Amino acid sequence: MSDDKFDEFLQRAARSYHEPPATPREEMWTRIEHARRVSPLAARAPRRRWWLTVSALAATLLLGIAIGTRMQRAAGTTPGPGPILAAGPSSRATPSGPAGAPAGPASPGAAPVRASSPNVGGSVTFDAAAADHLGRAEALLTTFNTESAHGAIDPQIGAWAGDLLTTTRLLLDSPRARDPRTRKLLSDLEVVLAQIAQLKSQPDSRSDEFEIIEQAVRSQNMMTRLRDATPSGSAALASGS
Amino acid sequence: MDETDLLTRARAGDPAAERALYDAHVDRVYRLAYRLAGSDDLAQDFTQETFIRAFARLGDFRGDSSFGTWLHTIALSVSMNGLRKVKRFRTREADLDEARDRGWTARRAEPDLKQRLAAAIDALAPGFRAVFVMHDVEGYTHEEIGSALGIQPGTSKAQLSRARARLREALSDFAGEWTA
Repeated sequence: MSDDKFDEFLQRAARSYHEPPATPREEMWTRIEHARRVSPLAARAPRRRWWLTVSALAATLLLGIAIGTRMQRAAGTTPGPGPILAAGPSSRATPSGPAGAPAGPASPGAAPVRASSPNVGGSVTFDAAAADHLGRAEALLTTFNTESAHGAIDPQIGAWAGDLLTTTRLLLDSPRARDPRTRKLLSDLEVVLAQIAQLKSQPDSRSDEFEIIEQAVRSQNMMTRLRDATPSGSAALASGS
Repeated sequence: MDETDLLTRARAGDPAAERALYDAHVDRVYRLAYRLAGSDDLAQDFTQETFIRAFARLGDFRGDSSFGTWLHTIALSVSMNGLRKVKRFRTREADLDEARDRGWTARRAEPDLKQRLAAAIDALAPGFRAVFVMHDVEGYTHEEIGSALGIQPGTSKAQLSRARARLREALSDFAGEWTA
């Protein structure tokens, strides 16, 4: 067989691969405009990304210092552990699934945040835990969007949402959750997660229920706000070349 | 008005210039996102995200490459990261071996060439798939692909060649279709 013939054949045949419909220009432009209006953070994204990276590094450092101090104290006097504010459920709610999939020990969301942590350290650790949690929520909503477009969602998504719902509530109840923007995002997220979690008890959920949830996600620009609050690993974006 | 003027005005916050830039590029971005995602919802999501990020970072665009190339770098990054997140969940659900072998061992169950080709393209590694879709499906040049993916044009050619080789292997049952 000839390579050229195959290449020609392939190019011809591949044109039907995921053939796009007409571009929904106006629909997308309306959402872009809306997202930019309600999320002024988008205009400061590069600097914010830089600060988030620094915050994550600082959180790791402070956590290390806190663990070291605690171990030193444990070797001498006995400290009283403070109540755990957040982390346990977050460590279970991995993007790859809801339950029974323990995250690795290095997962930022896996480290317990205690109320007795120093003020600054606790706040930075809270930010890191919240960013980690919001990243997981973004993964869930992306998956939900895709699945619901096909008319049926995997029952596991409901369980996954339930898991994230618990962490959302823990974060909202934390005294460190002072930033009004984060609180608003967590509150909105809680409602959406609760709706998705409800679906798990209704295996034959109808498409109008999916539509209501999708509508809520879209009207509140949930995806953009979540991405704003989540560090991304793309180096290409910062280069501007 | 040329693109440089539009960019200057858009950097100054002129909404009409932003809209003009959007109109000039949205079709190509959406088409590419759709080809990669295979879903209208995801393609719209990736396209919107691309423009939101691009407008937010317009001050970082130095003009070393064309605006379109820069936009495609963002679009590819957004699409491939987004698809990775979706796949991470899906592959946990699916039988991993079955997912890996789609288009290779499930031949008897998928006699239709179009379906087999689509499954084989889906099964390509993400980098190979992006190069194949951009070049053979959407008609980008190797220079454009290289700039958007941050690789040399020669690497793009090599990846395309390897992608085609894998597809040829996956479609060997249909050899008569192209040798005839």
